Amino acid sequence: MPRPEACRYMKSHEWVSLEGGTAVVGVSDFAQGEMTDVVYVDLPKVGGKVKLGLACGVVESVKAAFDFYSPVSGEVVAVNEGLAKDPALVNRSPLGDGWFFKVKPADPKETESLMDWGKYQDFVKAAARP
Amino acid sequence: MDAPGHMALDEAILELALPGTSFFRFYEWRGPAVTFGLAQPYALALACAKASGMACVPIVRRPTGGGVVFHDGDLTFSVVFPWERLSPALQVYERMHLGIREALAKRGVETSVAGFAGPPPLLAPPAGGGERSICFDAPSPFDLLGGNGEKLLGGALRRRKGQGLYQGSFRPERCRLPRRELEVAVAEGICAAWPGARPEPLDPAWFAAGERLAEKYGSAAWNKRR
Repeated sequence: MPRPEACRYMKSHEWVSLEGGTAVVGVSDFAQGEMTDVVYVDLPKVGGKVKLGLACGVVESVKAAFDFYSPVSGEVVAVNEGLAKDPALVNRSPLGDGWFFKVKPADPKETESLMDWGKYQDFVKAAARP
Repeated sequence: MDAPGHMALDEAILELALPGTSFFRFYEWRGPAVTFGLAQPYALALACAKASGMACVPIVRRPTGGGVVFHDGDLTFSVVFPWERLSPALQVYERMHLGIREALAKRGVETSVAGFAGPPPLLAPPAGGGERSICFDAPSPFDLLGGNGEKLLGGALRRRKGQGLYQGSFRPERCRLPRRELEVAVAEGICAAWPGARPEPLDPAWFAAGERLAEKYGSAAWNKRR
């Protein structure tokens, strides 16, 4: 499981962690809390292409569906099959067992444009203000 | 317009409406239809439709979450609205339904908003049947209820790029207002919840985009994907 400090974050609350030559993607703890109880995750297909900032799937929670966006460009090399049986993994372990998919990044440096942990925490604090 | 056309037009408006803007519209159905939630299995929707004698009408997967809805005389409407900051869906339902509750109260119709008692079991039927996967069989949190606790209005949501889509279904036979007056009250409630919300006429470009998307909503690849 990546440490939160080791991830980069989108304003739409997806995280990406580079592990060797692979990028792992999920949604942040803040996001799972706001979406509430996740009941289904529609993931991209293995072998498909995703692009930084573009919608690549849907999370459904209590009577609402939320698009999510890829924080990295490249080819999807794996998806979290465990979410089909237990979508609540997203709530219980958003940075661990609740990861979404893995990507072979087209350009690993691309994620440097995203927020680091410190900036993301500031962003969340600002977003949480009424 | 048929069910695929309505779903497609709603998605087109969600996709193309400028950020920060709000629109709403009331459906005119070509005939009865059944819609079901984005994540629900088709087999479940079909079983619910069969059990209600509606197996022979179009059964279409919505772009929003939620349960199975029978469109057989309901007042159906949709709202596209700003949903910039990620926030719980229940807040949207509360805002929308409180607005409509106030508008109904002005007309002498007393309603209440259902309390929160945990998430509804929308995806799998309970043992012995699929009844609880049907939207109107049991209230969900923040649904609008009549004086006797009967569900009057339920909704379903989708969030995309800082905009939200709400699709609502109101059972007019459970409310003593004439249908036209009910429509006016719902519109007033929407505008109270989302100041600046505009009704039709909608942008012609949205209809064109909706026509292109209608093929998807009419396809087995979409409706039977689960």
